[in-house]
This record gives sequence, structure tokens and C-alpha cells, in this order.
Amino acid sequence: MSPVTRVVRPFGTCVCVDNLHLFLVIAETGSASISLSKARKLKYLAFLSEEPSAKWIITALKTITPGHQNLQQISLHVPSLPPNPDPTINRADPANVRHAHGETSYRQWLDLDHLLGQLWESHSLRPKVTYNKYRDGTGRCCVGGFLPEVTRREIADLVGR
Amino acid sequence: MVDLLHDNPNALKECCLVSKSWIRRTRKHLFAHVDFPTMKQLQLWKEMFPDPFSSPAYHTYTLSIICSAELMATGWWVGELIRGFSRVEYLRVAGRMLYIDTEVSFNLLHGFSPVVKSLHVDFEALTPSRVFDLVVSLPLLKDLTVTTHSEVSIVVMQLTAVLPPTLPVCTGTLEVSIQAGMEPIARRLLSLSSGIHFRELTLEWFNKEDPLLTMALLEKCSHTLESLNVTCDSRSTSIWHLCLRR
Repeated sequence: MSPVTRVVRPFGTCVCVDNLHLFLVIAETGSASISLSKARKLKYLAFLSEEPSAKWIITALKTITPGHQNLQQISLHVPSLPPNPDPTINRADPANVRHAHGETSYRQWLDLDHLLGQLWESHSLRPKVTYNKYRDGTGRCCVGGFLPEVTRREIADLVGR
Repeated sequence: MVDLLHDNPNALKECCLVSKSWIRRTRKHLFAHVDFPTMKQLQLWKEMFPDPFSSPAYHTYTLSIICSAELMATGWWVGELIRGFSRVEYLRVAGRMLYIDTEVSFNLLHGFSPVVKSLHVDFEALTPSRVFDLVVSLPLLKDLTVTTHSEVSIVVMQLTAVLPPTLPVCTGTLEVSIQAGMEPIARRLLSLSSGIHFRELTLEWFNKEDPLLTMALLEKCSHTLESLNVTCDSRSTSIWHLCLRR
């Protein structure tokens, strides 16, 4: 019997039996969320994405409980804002986030901002927030657009990359 | 004195010329890290040290091999040569240009060093069953890194070897970055009867199943996990949205 070779691609599965090729679409996997509730020994957490949606991060962070006493650091990445030729635009203004990424993403980042503030109060967790450096040096300002409370209270370490 | 010069290869080579009695101590440092980037390097090693068991391979702690179709087809002498590296703790196996027509077997590497603690597999395209066979042949394995750079993964079904009696302990770091999705490797690891007990998970999502597999890995390692690092590839974000909406 000849071996069956399956070639897996991100959007489907191609099964090759000798010269016969079939293309199968992988079924949808349903909703998913990361629960950290059982991982009580966690010390470091990092969620890095250029994706404007922060929902998956919020879902995960909401499962942090008072039992996570070892947790020392949370790292996040703030996505980019599209370049704006107008230098008078204040990139730290949350309205820019709303304009660039839509109301849903904007609301999610506000929720995340609030949640990080709560974690600072409950766990003394000082998040590490990375941002993309721009040539004009405005990358750091963008953090204020996504995480206004965290930035205002200066409860995060901001790191350009 | 030789030990103090451990990071100065030229000085160590000079030391070899001072006295025969210094050679053994010098070799320990000179051959601690061995890299075979090409088939040619392997052939040179064989010519220089024809007896694998009296070669300086005994001193090697880190071994890196770039696999090629040529190497895989070479057969027994490469296997014999590699058996000499019986004290390797960190193994890196990498390969480029290996696609469906060049299915890679790691049989040559199975159990060659019983003390391998860290394995890094870095391939253009992956043959997960072969990687898994290699993983389970290393009973003391703690850290596993699997990286691919292609959106294609090669799965040869029904050819996975019988599991050995002693399975790896998997108590260190699991790092997975597979562009075709982590499913073939993650599912196999999750099915290990000895369980997995990683302290650190570094996972890159490319595929819509990757978040679900992350959850499963997190669940399995929840009692030992100290660090979780998730990177969401921007190309997979539309898939992720789909998952969230359902």
C-alpha cells in the first residue's frame, strides 16, 4: 500500500494519494478563549500582535485571579496607527484609534486599558507595552491613544521596537 | 590555565602544541560546540576522525546539523559518525529546500545521545511525524523548539514509529512557530501518555486552530507553567476574528 501524504496549508488540507489530489476545507473550529485560571504558577505573560482587536487579550487577562500571586509581568504590543501627513494631529488622542481601527477595536482597547489599571491596583502588575518606532518619533505617543489611563497614570514601561 | 582560555579557540589550538597531556583538556573546549553546515564538513570530520568512538565528538555538548537530501541518502557512515556524539545535550537539526519529494527521516539521530535535553528543529517544510519520532526517542528531552518557514507541512500518515517505553519529560520550554499551523506537533505532544509539563510556552499563531491548541497545551501544563508568550501573526487575524464571532 502506498503511503498517504497530506499537505496541510493554513486554509485547507490537500490529500495526495498517488496522483490523486483532493482539496478539503478545514471546518471552522468555533470560538476560543485562553483561560489562565488554572495556571497559578504563571510569572510572565506576553500577548504580542499587530492586530487592532484586543478582545482575545482581554478575555485572557480577565481570567487572572487573586490566586496568581507569582505573576510578575504582562507584556503587550500596541499596533500601529496609519501614517498621517498632518504633523498637527495629536497621535496620543484616542480618537485617532477610533478613526483608524473602528469603534469596536477602540472600545476593546479602552476596556483593556481599564483592566490593566485594575491589575496594577490588585496585583501591582506594571505592564510592559511595546510600540513600533516611527521615523518621526511619534510611535511612543500612539500608546496614549490606545491606553490613555495607563499612560496618564504612568503605570507601564514603554519600549519602542 | 586551559579552562581559562575556553572562549579563545586560537589560544586553545596553541595549547594543543605545548604538550600531549594538554590535548584532552583542550579538546573539551574546542569541540564543545560542533556545527555541520554542509555535507562537506561531515566528510572532512570523517576523514580526520575515522573512528567515531575515539574522536573528539565525545566532548561535544552542542551539535548542529543541516540536513539535506544528500545527507539523508548517505546512509550508514553518517549514522556511525553521529553515534560518536554520545554526550550531546543540545541538538539543532535544520534543513532547507526539503519538500514533499524529499521526505526526511531522522532515524540517524534516534537515541544517538541519551542525554539530549534540548532539541531545535528548524525546517523549510515540516514532516511532523518524523519530528515526533525523534522527540520520543530522546527520554531526557526538556526543551523543544519547532520552527518552519513554509506554509506547507508534510504529514506522512500511519508511519509513526512505536512509542519507546521511556518518554521525554518535557519540563522546559516549548517553542512552536509553524506557518502551516501547530496542530500536527501539538496534537502528538498532547497525546503523550507521560504528559507534558512545560514551564514555558512560546507559541506563534498562524492558523485558526492554533488558539484552540494553545488552550489545550495551557490546560495540560497548567500545574507547571510559569511563562506564556503568544504572538499572533497578522495574516491569521482574520481567521481569529472568525473564531471569536462564532
